[in-house]
Amino acid sequence: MNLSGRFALPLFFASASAYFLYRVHEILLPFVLAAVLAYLFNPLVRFFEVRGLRRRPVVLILYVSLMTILSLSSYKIAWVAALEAEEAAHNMPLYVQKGSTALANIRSSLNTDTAPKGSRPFQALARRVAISADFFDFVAEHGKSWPQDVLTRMPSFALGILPVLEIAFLVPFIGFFLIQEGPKFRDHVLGWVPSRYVEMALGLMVEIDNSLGKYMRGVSLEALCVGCIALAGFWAIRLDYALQIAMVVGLANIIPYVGPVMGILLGGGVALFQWGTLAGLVKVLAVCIGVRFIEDWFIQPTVMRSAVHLHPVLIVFALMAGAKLFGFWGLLFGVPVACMVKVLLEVLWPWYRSQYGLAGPTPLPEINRIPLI
Amino acid sequence: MIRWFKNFLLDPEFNRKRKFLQRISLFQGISRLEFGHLFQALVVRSYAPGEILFHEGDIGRALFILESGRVEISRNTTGGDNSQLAVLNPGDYFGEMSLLDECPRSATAAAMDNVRVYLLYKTELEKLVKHVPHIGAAIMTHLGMLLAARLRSVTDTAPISIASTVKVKEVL
Repeated sequence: MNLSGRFALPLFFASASAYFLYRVHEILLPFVLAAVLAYLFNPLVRFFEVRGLRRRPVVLILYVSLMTILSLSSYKIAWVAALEAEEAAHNMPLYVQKGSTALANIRSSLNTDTAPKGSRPFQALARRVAISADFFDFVAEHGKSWPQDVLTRMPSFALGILPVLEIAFLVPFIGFFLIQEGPKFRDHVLGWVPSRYVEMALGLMVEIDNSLGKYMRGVSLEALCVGCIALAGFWAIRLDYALQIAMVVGLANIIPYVGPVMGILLGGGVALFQWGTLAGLVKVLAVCIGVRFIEDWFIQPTVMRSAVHLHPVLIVFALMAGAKLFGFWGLLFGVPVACMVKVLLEVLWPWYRSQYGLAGPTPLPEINRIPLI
Repeated sequence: MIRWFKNFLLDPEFNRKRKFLQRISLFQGISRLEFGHLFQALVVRSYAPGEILFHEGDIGRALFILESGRVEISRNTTGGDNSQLAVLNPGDYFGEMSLLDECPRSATAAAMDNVRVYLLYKTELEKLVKHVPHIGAAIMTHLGMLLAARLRSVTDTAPISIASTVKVKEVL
């Protein structure tokens, strides 16, 4: 069979599979999230497996324990969130009034009459704040009826979170089977590969598995660390809803560069309501910049040390391309996909070069200089 | 009850695989826990009779450990015929030099029966060297000893004048 004939069939199947996956990409989310769950869970299962325990009962016991803990903590978090939502609804008019007053104060302090002459940036800021103040006037006007509005919209809100619940049930269900199959799944896939390409396919699987596993575990650990540091910072400045904001900061940090920005937006908003001064905003800003600094200088070099390194420009490109193609989920999975593409190139290019005689391994310099003794 | 719980939790495959791999010289002196780490790095693949495991000239990246069946190692002669170099049996391993470099295979390996092999990929060995240094060092030391023994056998049979600069081709 000639070269084009040998590659035509696999290429056709690969293209057809890619097209099929693109057409059904909307239903792939639970499977992708389940794969992420499996990656996060695998080191724990491996810990017991290397000690001679069977994979299936280990997965079952760990899964039941983890799901119980998660269910109880979700219940507890939902309970706390409900209490705080009730409190927030009760305090809403007060908060809105405080915020409105604060913005009015800032607007008056930055008034064009009082600002130094020729200070255009101050005037521009003042105009922007004036727009925000109008917005807060609008919120203050509607703030009194807000709790009632929320209650009347509750049924449609409940219907809106149904897809989230669907994912919440589907992901652990699919994830359970993926974790349970584990290495067997890899062996099955390898069994389908033509024997001549087994080593190359194995290489690709090992490298992608390594890089994706390291990336996902690294990102999760990084998110946890960032969330904890943000929590400590917000507690230190006695910001209200520190736990909730820190959780959002940690979760948002899964998307590179987004976590601290969310911290500034949410924390800044709460600070404005809580203290009504610019000093509060500055405190939140300092905490978020501190979090970003610690993340860049201490967490990333340690946690992501062995993960695939991508240039920041490539990360931004991957994020933008992901967002353009698949929206929010593209934003979330853009970087891991870019890592996979990088690994694919790193494995396939040397294979292609050596297979077609473009380059061989570099000979050791001392082989002809030092005699064999 | 305890017995049932033990049977429920303990993997019988673990001991079977350990007993099999313990016989192989490459894995001498490895503890039970280290074998657990090694199993995580191994991949199982079956081949039908006549199926080629790898061709002469293919780039090698994995070590093959034969668990069951027989494998024929052969090389193309200058006349275009196939000359059989060896027939490998369960417990033999081959392709070990690809763990050190990624040179083309110097012979073809074909399954003679239904064959089941364990594959140890180069990157997995590197991971073992990094995370479980003792097992990585044990394998690497054994590979070094094997390579030295082969070199000595070649230089002992080669003329003295070329012994110092002879370029030794590994068997596989």
